[in-house]
Amino acid sequence: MDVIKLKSIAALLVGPVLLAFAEGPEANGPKTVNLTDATYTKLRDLVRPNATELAWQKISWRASVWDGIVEGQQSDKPILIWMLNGHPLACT
Amino acid sequence: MADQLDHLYNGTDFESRFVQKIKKQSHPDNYSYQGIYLAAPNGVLLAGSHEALHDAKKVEKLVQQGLEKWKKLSPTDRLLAKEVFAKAVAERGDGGRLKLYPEDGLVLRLFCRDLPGAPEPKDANHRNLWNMDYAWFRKEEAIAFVPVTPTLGKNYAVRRELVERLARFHLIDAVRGSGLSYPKEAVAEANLTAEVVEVTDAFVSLRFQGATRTSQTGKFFTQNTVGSAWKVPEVQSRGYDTKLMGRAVYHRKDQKFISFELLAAGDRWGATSENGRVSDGEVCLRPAPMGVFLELAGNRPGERVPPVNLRHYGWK
Repeated sequence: MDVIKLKSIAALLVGPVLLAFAEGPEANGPKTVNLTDATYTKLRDLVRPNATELAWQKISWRASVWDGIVEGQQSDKPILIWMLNGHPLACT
Repeated sequence: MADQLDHLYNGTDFESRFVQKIKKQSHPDNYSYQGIYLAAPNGVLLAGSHEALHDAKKVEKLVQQGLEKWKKLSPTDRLLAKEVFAKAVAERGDGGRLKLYPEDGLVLRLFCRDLPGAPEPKDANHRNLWNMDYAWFRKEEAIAFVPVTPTLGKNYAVRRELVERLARFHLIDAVRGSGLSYPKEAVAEANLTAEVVEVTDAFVSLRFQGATRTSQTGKFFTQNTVGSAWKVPEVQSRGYDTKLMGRAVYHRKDQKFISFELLAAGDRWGATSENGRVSDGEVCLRPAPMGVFLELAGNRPGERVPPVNLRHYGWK
């Protein structure tokens, strides 16, 4: 059997698989997780960060550089600045 | 304070110039502005580092070094001259980006995370990740979650545009990165029902149920090669198919929610330049469980961060 035929068969197999992914799963509701009254609390608590994960919120951060400048200037204090491409206090 | 950088790189206002000055003093040869800095209000850098960002001990040392330097500066050397500060305040005007914060509306904080059953990330840095954001609703929008004349046991449909906003801008795959919102035409389903479970003169208690489905086919990945093992299909599908459940209590006299929670749980799929899924290989194209949870935010200054997709709300 020549290589070209094998490649053609592979292409036939791979093509429909990728096409299926390209169209996304069927639109009959989620399949991988079942949200019900019985599972609500458990799923919620899996998503919501615990106290350790939110420990950085114990610092009284201000939401903008500008707020830090104003407060530092008025109270004669240095400014601790944490900068990321996304907002460090929200979506990074 | 903490802030995001994208509007500060090339800005020309006082705040942007301040950030650019700090970065230049800290690490002029590194392109990245990301870092931890201790600065005087006049923009003199006391200590700063890009590398210390993920190391608490390095940050502690950096702060100590900066405070030592601060003590050696006179007020004249660390504060802005009065006229310079006054000019900056005048330039700032009515509050910049944060002026849209809905003081009398509904502010939710949101968390997203993969749920059990999701494929184990191949990259160790992607394990146990979660992300957060805020969702804002103005007063008239917040009130729209509550029936005008609530009757015990009755179901009411929440305005579709509000559910659609959640689906497009907040029920997104941001677990590993800031996520990519959906266009209006990607929303196949967006419904939320509020059932009245208790009514008194003071309060209305609601139970939420609903579903959303966003699905979009297109080119979402700009860096197409991952190692040599796998390439993202040029055209692929991405989406998030959810069930929604939640509950809330509304204070009728104050016209505000005193509690609010909403959980979206469902299947996400697809790889984008933003969602960091591509390193898992083609499994990232298949449905995998992800949850998004929204709850009432507090009113501390650090909780007034604008939603990452606020610019798409259409608010002015």
